[in-house]
Amino acid sequence: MKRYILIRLLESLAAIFVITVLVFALTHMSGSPVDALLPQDATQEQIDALVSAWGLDQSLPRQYLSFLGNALQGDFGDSLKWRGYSAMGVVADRLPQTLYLGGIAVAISVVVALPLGVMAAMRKGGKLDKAAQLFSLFGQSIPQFWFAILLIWFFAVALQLLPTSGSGSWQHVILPAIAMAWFQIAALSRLTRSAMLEVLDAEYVKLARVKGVSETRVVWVHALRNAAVVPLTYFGVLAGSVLTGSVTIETVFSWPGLGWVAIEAIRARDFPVVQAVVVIFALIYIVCNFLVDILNAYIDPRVRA
Amino acid sequence: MPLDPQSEVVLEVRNLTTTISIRTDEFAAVDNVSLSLKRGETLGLVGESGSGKSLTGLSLLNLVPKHAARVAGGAVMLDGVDLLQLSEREMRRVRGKKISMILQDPQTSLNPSFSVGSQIGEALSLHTDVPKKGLKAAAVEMLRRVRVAAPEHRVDAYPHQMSGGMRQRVVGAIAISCAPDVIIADEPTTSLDVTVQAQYIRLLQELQAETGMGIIFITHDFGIVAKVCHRLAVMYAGQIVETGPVERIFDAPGHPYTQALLGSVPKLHGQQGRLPSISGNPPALWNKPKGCKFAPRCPLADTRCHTEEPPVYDTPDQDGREHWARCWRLETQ
Amino acid sequence: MRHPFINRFAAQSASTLTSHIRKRAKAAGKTLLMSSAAAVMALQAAAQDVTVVIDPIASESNLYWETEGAFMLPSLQGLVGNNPETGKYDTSGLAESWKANEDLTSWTFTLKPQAEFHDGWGPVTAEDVVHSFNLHIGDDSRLSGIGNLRDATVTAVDAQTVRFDLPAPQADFLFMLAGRGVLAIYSKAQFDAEGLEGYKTKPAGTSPLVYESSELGQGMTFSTAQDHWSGVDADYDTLSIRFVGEAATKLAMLLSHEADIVSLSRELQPQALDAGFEILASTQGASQTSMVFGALYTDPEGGELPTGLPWADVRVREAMNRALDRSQLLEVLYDGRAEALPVFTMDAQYEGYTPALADRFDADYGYDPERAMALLAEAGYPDAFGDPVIPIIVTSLPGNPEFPLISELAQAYFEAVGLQTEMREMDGASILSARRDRNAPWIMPVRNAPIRPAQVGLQVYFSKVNRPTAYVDDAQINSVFDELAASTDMAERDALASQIFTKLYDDYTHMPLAKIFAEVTVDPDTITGWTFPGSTSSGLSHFELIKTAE
Ligand SMILES: Nc1ncnc2c1ncn2[C@@H]1O[C@H](COP(=O)(O)OP(=O)(O)O)[C@@H](O)[C@H]1O
Ligand code: SF4
Ligand SMILES: [Mg+2]
Repeated sequence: MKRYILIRLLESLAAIFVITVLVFALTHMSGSPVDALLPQDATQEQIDALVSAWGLDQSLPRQYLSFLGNALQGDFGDSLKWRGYSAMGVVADRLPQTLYLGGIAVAISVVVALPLGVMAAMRKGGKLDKAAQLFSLFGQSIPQFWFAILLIWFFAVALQLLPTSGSGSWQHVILPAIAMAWFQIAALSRLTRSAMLEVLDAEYVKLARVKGVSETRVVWVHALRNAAVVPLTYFGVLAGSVLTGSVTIETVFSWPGLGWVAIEAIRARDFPVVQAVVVIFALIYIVCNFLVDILNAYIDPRVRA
Repeated sequence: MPLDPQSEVVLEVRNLTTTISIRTDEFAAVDNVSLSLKRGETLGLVGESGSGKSLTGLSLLNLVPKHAARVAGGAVMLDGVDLLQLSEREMRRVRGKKISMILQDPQTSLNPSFSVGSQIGEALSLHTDVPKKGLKAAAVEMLRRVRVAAPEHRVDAYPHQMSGGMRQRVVGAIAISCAPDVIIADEPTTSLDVTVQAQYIRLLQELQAETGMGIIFITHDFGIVAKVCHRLAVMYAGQIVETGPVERIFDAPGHPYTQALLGSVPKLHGQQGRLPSISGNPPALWNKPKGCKFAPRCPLADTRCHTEEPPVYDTPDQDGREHWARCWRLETQ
Repeated sequence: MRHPFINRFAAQSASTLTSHIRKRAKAAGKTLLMSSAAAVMALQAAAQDVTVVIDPIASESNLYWETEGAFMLPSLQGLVGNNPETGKYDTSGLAESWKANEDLTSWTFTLKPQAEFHDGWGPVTAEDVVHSFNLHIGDDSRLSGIGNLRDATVTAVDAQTVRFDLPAPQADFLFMLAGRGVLAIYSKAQFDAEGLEGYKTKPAGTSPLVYESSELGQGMTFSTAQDHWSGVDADYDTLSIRFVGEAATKLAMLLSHEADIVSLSRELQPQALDAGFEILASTQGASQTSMVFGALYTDPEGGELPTGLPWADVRVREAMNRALDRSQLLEVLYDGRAEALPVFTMDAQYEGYTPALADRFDADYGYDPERAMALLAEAGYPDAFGDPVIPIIVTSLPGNPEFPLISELAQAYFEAVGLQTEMREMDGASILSARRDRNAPWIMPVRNAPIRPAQVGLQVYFSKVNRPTAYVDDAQINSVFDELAASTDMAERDALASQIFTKLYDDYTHMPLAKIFAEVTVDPDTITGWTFPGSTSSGLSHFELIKTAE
């Protein structure tokens, strides 16, 4: 187990390294920051000052090393859009909002999708199964953006039950969380269903029944424990798509999280913040997948070996 | 191991029929099967693959595959109670406690996610009043009883950390953990290598001697039948076509199918005892012959065989022990 | 006179081109129609709180000089104001009067004696102006246009009097101090007591609106001052400005009565109108749009001259202008709520306005595809040109969502007269980068927002002062511009500016499109009016004049 964790840890670190190289390269490929950072009537002194402040006059590997050195300390420079904040400060300020929204969305998806998938598998071909199938088809085929707008339209405009956008109260989180969860539910319930179908046919499930174990326990303990590996592995993907989803959802709902920061920073060409967001997104993604791997090893003893 | 003639009947199966549904039709895959089993007795159930042996075993536990199959009729009397009349809830209290089963494939019949100790303990916690804290010790004891070395250590192991033989012994431990009256062992040794097979069979016999349970031993292997079984039931196309004491059937098989099966067994207690191949295939479920089910493959079949189902003919041995077969040829004897 | 309430124009699109484009432009909006009928349930928002929803602003800071100057906190004021009706400089700012010396190099302002800062930070004095000036020209200043102020010397003559001395005449100096100015007046007393931190948490302003709080990325809140020194008494108690980027969300906020005033993109306005909401426009033009020919450089002094560009030939430029059906364009782009523009950067409010050009515009620039094709044939297009393909830039600019559509429409018109075109997607920074390298040989849409005074506008777009990023670099224009910049005689300046505009016009140096107004969509149940001149970058100002229903 220790060895396994160590290997996964090293892999994660390598991934993080690659990400920093990519982020650095992307920033430099998208043109000199000078054009993004300075107004069009900038003086030559302003340009020179910026060039030396950003170390743009140094060689690329040198620039990368100092970027990496600073990044390791969480220093991505100062935000250009949110003046007076460091890029990391902006990210740290907004991260809890994204984790809050994402956490609720993931919780909703798991709470809905797992039972849905399990029950669909138990009653394969039944009404619930068919309904769930239809639901996933619908869930995965309309764009997230439109679904979000539909939610706003129905619940905030037509029924006036919930606020359209913004944050602040528990009412504010409902619509964005549902919009975000919807797609995960569709995918996760399908995965759970097929994993369960496979497992429910297994001999050890039969043996559990032979022992006199109740059907509930057979399904939710004996079968699910083994089927869970599949949705759990997907969980890593889920974490990623919650992050990328946050870009759309947070923009539509004006939810002041990281996805929203990402869009606003890109719009405002706020390079330091874009870099910080990308690195943090990558980190979250990697950490989630690392945790999933550990959890997988915990659930499935075979993985540990 | 001879059976005490005074031994009482513990399991009595009468006219058990289990159907398989294919599209909208139902076909009898277990066809009007009657069996009985005494305490301490081992009944061999043999037949080609697909003849309905496993399904018969599962029917006894009322655990046939939910959507595909259905126990359509008959009675399974255990200790005077018809198991088929019990509710699912009541049946759950019987399964694992009074009647248990060892599944065919030890590689897959243990849950990979739980330690073997907890899988043994689960049966105990369901059916006995062993306290939660005592479960592990009881599991160790069970492992010891099935001759697993270093059981204190193995109790925390996971299935993938064990050999096939050891796993099958764990399955055995689970089956006997609550001292059931009847164990159905569905080809428990098929996937084990020969020496391990022999050990396992010895183990089952020892356990039987200790507990006096009745065993229905489903197998392909006449060698094993000769070694462990008191009586034999031969199954073909869902029907029992012949039943009787093992030596009697080996000496004087009544049914041409049994004769064909025994045809290539070199000697009674020989090591080589796999069922020989008989030319042709057993009939498909949906395409069973009208008369004798074996008629299409039977060298002795005549016109009546093809049109009329043969009745059961009793041919008890000199001690009056039950022996019968389903074949028109016995009409004249 | 333009009435602030403009009703929706009946959309009449004759040609298939237009209707096709209309569909594209509105496809996004259509789906939203679904349940808007059900949405009109007047949950009466208390008129005492006004919520205004605008696009997220480019840089959020309470320190004005750290932003590009796109949005000045409504609580802050400059020395000079803009008249809400006419947009002209007036004394609604902090100065009650001003005068310039003969050669316009020294400007003296007298502050209003009654003007004072919020939260008890005392009266506004010349020291506050000097202090603010110093902050604004600091190294961290990113204000676009601050260059015009950097070399000034500011002197506090006495407590009420402050003088700006400039190295060269600046006829448009007041523009620097007014609505789209580069100088907001902060309190020196607050700075001395609390430092920059104080400004960051709660900068004391002077206007009828008092800064209360702001939430990063979400918006800001202002309360209205009681018995304000200016005598202005806002109709309402609090003003919330919220930042929302997504157009559909903004519309939903309006329909659900969460917002009273929303800056809604034009595609979604019809739906709001259908639901009973109204559009309110600035009293004056808020911006101009045009397409420019990149790299129209003929003055060798500016550097190497480009060669082989099809539009170096004036006949091609006229042909391209003639290819555009401007009335249809404006209908599609602005629902007709825009005015024809004869010369980009020329406006009736400012110097050099030449009515003759407006009168001749139809004759010289009117839609005439036949003439366009004849001109092209005359110019030998395409064979006479090494590379006859005309690159058109597709770019998006906050505040001008129609820019990509302009490029698409223009392409359709150009191709209709036989021009070969090529679309290139590019972001603002890359475009700027190419322009800095004097390597931007393409057609692209541009805007002038707010509409700048003549000299300022000409300087940015059409003069050597802004080399290498200007679009036109012409020896004759450059020399007249030098004269204009040096001139302090108002009549002469007017003539010089007119001379440049006429030259720009006659040479078909660009493709002027429209003068447009800043528009907001309002809830008539809560908002009865708002007079604002459109003189800031965002077009919005004078929030204290928002009139609410009882
Ligand atoms: N789950 C099932 N679905 C469909 N048919 C089944 C199923 N299980 C068993 N059968 C059919 O029932 C018959 C008996 O099968 P089984 O009892 O497994 O045979 P055996 O154990 O003797 O090899 C076979 O024809 C088999 O195809
Ligand atoms: S009844 Fe006829 S066909 Fe059937 S086994 Fe006997 S002889 Fe063969
Ligand atoms: Mg079988």
